Amino acid sequence: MRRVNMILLVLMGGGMALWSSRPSAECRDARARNAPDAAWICGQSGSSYGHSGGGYWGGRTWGGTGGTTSIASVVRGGFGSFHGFGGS
Amino acid sequence: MRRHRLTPRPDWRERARSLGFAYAEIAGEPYWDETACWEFTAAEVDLLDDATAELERLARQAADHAIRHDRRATLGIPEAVWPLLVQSWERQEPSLYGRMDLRWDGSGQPKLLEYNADTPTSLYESSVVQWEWLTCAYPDGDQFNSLHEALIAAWPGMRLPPTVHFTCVRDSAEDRGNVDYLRDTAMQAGLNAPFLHIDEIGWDGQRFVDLANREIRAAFKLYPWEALLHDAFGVHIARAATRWIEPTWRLLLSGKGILALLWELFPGHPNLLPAFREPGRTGGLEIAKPLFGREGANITAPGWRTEGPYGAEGFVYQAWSPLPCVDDRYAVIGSWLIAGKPHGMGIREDATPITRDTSRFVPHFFRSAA
Repeated sequence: MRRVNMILLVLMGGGMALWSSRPSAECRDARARNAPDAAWICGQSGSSYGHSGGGYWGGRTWGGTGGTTSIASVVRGGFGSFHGFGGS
Repeated sequence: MRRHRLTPRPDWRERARSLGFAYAEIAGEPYWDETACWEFTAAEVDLLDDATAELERLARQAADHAIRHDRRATLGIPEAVWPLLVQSWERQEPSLYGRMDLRWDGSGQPKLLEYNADTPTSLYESSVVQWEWLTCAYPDGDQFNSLHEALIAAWPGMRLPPTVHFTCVRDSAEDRGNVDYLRDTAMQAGLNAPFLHIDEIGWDGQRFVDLANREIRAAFKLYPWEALLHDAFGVHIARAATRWIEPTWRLLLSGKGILALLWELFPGHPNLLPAFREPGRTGGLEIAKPLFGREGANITAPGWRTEGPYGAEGFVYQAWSPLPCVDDRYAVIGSWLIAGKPHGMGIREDATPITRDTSRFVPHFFRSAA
């Protein structure tokens, strides 16, 4: 049940790391040493579920959407007639 | 399960702002509410976790039954779109997330009120905002919440192309906040995650395309399936190769008709309430819910009635089991599933027994069994 010691955000709030106030000893040590892999260590430790984050740590960022052919006659506005918020 | 009254942190608005939580207040009224919180025991959280997993098992069985036995009439799904649901189910297109709304007062078994299986919101506050609150308010406490890491871990299992477009309606900070948070988790899982508004999606005669006229091979849409299929572009969905998240088969579960089918298939199950498509069959007081109603609109319950645009599609009549009321606030538990497994909860409160879009999100914590 216990969650990870850190939540990393890359978009929300402009990107930030939220640290728990009860990090593991390994995490505390890494942060005290200002170790470059502190985020990784703290993200991995203390969780019964583990922490994924592999894509981010691989350094990938979003950008283009891949190459497809541009077609001139595109119609828009065919979705979105629902009057109300989409979520529930 | 106990409600505590609290003094809010003096800087809670600044904290919300720094988190990008743009809908902490909606139309000048608080939505995020830390004047109170709910405390649970570890055993209570385990019980909610187990009930959610059990209900998911039942829901998947009911979906399979609906497909195999053509139960579209019970679910209120038009014949014209049924083949899309069948195809999506037979392909076993993965689900990313869902939220079950449960009625529970700490005794007996939690009861399923409805399953938001298509477009659930309150995700960011459940995952990040209430955890940030926990680290301040109860730093030694714990929380039923592994949503963030579960979402990041779930994306690779969705079997998606490298780019997934994200979309929702304009002019809803809440919807946009939920979508941007999901983009955040997708990006951390290594996906490209551009955004466009739902009305900006284009059709080039063969494919759905983005604003650069590039094919949308996969799209996360915070926009209900019943609306997507009803829109002018709905007729193109079957022709296009776009993978949609949530998949089409989730429409089997997101309407209220599933409540009647669940009760038919599993009568007397401890996590279900009696529910039928016809009134007067539950044997007691009933709440009438439109099949595809949203945000507590067009509900009729003993002593309560809400207005709204829904109901022409028909109703489900569910045994009336009012939410627990403490400090004049009615609380509903939203139990989250990520990739089909329970991973956390969020609690919303209202001054009435009907949870609506004006209900407030109240954080929770539990103390570990030391």
